[in-house]
Amino acid sequence: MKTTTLRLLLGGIFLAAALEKIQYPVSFAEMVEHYQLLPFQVGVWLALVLPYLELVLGLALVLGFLSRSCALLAAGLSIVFGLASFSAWWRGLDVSCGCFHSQGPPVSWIHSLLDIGLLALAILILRIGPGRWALDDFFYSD
Amino acid sequence: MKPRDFRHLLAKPSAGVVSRSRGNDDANAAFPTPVALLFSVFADLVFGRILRAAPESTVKTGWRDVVAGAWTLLSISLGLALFVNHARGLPIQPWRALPSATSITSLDLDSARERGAILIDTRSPEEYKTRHLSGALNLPYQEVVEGRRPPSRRGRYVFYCSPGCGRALKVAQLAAAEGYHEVFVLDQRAYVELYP
Repeated sequence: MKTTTLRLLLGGIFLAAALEKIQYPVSFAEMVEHYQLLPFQVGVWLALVLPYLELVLGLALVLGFLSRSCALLAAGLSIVFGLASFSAWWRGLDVSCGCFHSQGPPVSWIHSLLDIGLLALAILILRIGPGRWALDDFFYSD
Repeated sequence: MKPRDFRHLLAKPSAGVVSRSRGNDDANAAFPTPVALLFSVFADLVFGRILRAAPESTVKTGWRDVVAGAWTLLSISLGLALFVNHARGLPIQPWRALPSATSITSLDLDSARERGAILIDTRSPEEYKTRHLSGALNLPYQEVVEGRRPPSRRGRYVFYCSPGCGRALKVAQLAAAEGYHEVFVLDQRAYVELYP
């Protein structure tokens, strides 16, 4: 039961993050550019593809489909996001986080902490498994 | 660091435009949606199978399924992203779709008038007096060099000069580099009206 809650929470966070980015791809592309970490065209490509990865991960986590694989990818993403926001804060960039909304407070170490929280959630799901009420029960039960 | 303009990501070439730069549709044509979806399914089948068939000694059973599942999710996401972006007219191959900063699109006369563009004659005042396109304003190239500019950055301008002269393109590139939002040059075929 506990892992079901964790799974829904993590999935919900990813869904919320994905929807805004899918709605406004151009402003998300600008945001990625503001981080000044990637070459322009790689950044644009990432901005157009990444939201769909978040959407698929969010949906799959909520439904409990391939939960542990989702958790693995979510852990990877949160590490990347955490490092990106930490480096933006370290370099003193005055950029919005771009996590959920295009207009937000400037990115700081707090965002890195939140990403560590996400990482912890993902690792818990990876270790424990999907919990109850997951599609995995139908597809992969022994 | 100079801020970049991202609006062209959403720009769709309209009818009657002879484009020098490749629009998103052109760039995407080489990589259509079915190919994108096939690619994603193919990637999943091949790599997923390799991962799942990996011998026990190299990857532990539990982890092997987790990694293979992660690969499946990545493939689904990539396929979905390509499909939706293609349908929305966004570039799925941005490295091909992005025009260089100085590439200028040419417009024919009809679509220029249809879109309410302001025609700008970059020839000398004498040439302008002899004959000019109806509704065109005169902004001689010499005066542009001396610092005169079209009035508003938000206006839609179509520059022209005489056949084979490069001044219209030079002025347009200058204006685009200075942040004018919509800058075109007149398609050379429209010069028939000017020099019958």
